[in-house]
Amino acid sequence: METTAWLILLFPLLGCVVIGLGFRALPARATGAIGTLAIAAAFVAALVTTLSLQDRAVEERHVVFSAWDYAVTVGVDAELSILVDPLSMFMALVVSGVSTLIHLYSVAYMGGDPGYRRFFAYLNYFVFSMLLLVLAGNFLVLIIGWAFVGAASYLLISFWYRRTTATAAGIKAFVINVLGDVGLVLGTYFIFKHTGTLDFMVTFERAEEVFGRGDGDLTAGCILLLVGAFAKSAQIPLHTWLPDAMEGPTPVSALIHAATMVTAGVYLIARMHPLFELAPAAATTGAIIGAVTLLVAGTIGLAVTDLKRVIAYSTMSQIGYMVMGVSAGAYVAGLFHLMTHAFFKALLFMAAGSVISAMGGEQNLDKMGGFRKVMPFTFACMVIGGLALSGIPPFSGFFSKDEILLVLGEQGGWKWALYVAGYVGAFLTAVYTWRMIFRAFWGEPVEPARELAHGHLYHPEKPTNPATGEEEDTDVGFPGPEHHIAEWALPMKAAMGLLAILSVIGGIVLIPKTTTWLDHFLEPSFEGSSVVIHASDSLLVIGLVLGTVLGLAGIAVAHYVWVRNPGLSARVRERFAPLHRLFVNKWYFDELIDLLVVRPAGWFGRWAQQTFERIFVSGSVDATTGIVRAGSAAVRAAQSGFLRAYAAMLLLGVVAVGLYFLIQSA
Amino acid sequence: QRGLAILFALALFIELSIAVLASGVAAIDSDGPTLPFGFGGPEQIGAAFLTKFLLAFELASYLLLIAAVGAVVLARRRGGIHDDAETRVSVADFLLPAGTGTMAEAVEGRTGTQADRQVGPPAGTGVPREDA
Amino acid sequence: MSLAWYLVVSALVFAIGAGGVLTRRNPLVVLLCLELMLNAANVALIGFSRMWGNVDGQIFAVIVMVVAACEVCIGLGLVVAIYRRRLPIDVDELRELSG
Repeated sequence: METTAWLILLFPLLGCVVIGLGFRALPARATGAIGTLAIAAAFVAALVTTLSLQDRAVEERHVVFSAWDYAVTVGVDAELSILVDPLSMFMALVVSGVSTLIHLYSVAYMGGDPGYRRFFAYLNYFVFSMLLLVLAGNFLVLIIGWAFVGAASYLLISFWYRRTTATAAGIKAFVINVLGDVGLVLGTYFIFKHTGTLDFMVTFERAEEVFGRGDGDLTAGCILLLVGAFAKSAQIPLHTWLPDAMEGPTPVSALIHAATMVTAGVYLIARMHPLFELAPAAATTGAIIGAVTLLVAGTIGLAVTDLKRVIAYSTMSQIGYMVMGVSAGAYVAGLFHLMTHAFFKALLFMAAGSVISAMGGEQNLDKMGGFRKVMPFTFACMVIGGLALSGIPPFSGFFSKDEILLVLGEQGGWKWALYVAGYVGAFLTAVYTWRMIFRAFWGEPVEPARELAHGHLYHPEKPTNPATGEEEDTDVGFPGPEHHIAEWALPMKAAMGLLAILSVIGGIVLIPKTTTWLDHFLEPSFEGSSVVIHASDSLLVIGLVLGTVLGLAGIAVAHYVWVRNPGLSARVRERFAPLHRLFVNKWYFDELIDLLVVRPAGWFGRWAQQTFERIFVSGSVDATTGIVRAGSAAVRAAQSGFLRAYAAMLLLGVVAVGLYFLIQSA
Repeated sequence: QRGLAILFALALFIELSIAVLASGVAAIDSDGPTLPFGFGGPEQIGAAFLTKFLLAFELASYLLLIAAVGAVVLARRRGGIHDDAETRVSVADFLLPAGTGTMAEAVEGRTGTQADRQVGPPAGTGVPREDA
Repeated sequence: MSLAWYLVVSALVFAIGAGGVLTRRNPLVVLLCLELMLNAANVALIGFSRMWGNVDGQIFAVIVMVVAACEVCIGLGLVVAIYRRRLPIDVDELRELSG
């Protein structure tokens, strides 16, 4: 099992290196194939590892493999070690599986882009980093994977690097991610201070002895870990980078910002569950933030008009569910939702990519309409994804979302508020998802749809930046001239088809009261958890029914507003204009952060430059040079070239020496 | 400046005198030892040079050689540095024209050959005189 | 004659020479005064040689004379070179080696 475990990491790394080094020599399609095959190989390796893990007895399903020691003498057990247990294998399977499909999609979607090979190198690097993160066996490798993933995110968001909006978004994402990194490292320190080890398994064993319940240092450490998780998973208040990250190509959005990277925070909390159970304050914080995020993101999703950004806010909201779930102790449910979300969100992004291609690069919902008849496959995928997201049975999203809310309801107490928030959020989810679908696919066909009906793809005269409308060209650094839609590209169709199937049947692994495969699979990772879940039947039925009703109601509302009554949305917008402004401006978080963080940083920088730098730093350096200069000028005055002065000095010296000896001998 | 220097010289003298007179060298006031005749004579000095101070002797001569060569190099006339008005100095410049100088006074200005008032360089130096 | 007289004479001549070196502007005169100082030292040396009764001091004096001669030789060569260049023969004016 050890070899296959390391192979999971090795294949994407090799893929990245081969493409990265040979990108000039390899033809474009070859790099696509290499990239996809590398991740597929990683998936196969993960599968084999999982099967051999399942062969072992239940108690033995945490295996740590160590490659080498980084620091032996310092007293810190820093090793390059990976942990193979059900949780990490689950994550590895999801990550590598969905990544393979997205690579397949990109093979066709990114065709014609001048940076095609670079794209696959970056994608492989990203998958390697993510796998490193989920397979990490100690805090050190976790932090390394965390940082690498942040870097990969930056590289991929600013993939079209000549677009100023893209590079700005990349920087924003990276800065917020680094903030999370700081939280992660500091949190690790707080925990390491008491346990004295970086290894996960050892930490968890020692946690109970070393920390009492609600220990101050542990709570601080866990909250700092949460900061890291929030930054990576785009929870409030560190969420502002996610909508901007839609500047990257659609496969990037699908992979990083839907299925994998943003779920790293959820994975972190699930992995650290022994620590969070000992620090209830931190767990509560996580749950509350998750709930707040899911509501806020839901409201924003109702108002924004960019297709990809609606899906981005939907991601933020769904991750709010997951964070809420794992913070409250619903580990299996939260991870189940992670998996199903990966399926249908990636599917939604892929379908959105297809629509955007049909529109010739335009992303604004206001300009879309009537694609239902001309793009049947894309439409079907979008509908499947939308149904799964809204939580309609028997799609996968239904089971996973309700599982989380069930556990919250079981716990009772103040968590009823979270329960209610969860269902409100479910209603909002259905509304904004179907708003998006109805607006894009129903209504009068717009010009690109009409052209597609005639069988050729719409191309705008001049390529422009979809956000600002600036003109671009199609050379390297900007998107290529070709657009690919699912109906005409087999790789895209294959990937989307598979994901659609998974979105439909994915719920089968954990249907309440019926199948418990996922539960049994993940159980060894979460044994010893102090959260015991008794699923009461009545609550289960209430939850299921409520979920279905709310989902269908949401679809109905969306249908009424955007299909039956086209002018209604405009009138509602006018009636509630301030509210609408709040939502469209994303609750003014960007402005708030600008005011609180960016401007003070600017002022500090300016003060530092004008006052501190000028007076103290430059001043002290200049003072030193000034003193040296003055000294040397004084000495230089003695070098006058004046012979008589020299002679005088000489004789004076002689006299002085003579005097000295005289006085001494006297 | 001048006054200062004189003052300084005076100060130096006084100091040295004090140094001399106030020092406790007993022999200062005495007449000195009786010395054989010929002390400090040329034979004695010569012998000392060639035996005890041979190295100093050789080095001194070496130094003289260097100084002579150096002086010649320093005072050498180099081509192209002088401007038009500068003339080359040669031995003939130091020869007074015939009929001048103390001899002229002695013979009261009458000389034999006065045909050549223009004294040029001796034949063979090949240096043109630029002014008469 | 006791030794003290010789030494006082030497001191006197040395002081005069020093004053001259500091005061005069013509380099030739400076060289002259330099000679004075050297010879004053010679006198002292000879006096001491007489006192101790060995020839070392006198040999030293002869060597000093040799050195003085060399130095004056070079000095005069410099003066000639300066004259040739039409530079003023004035120690105060010749200051190009300043820092």
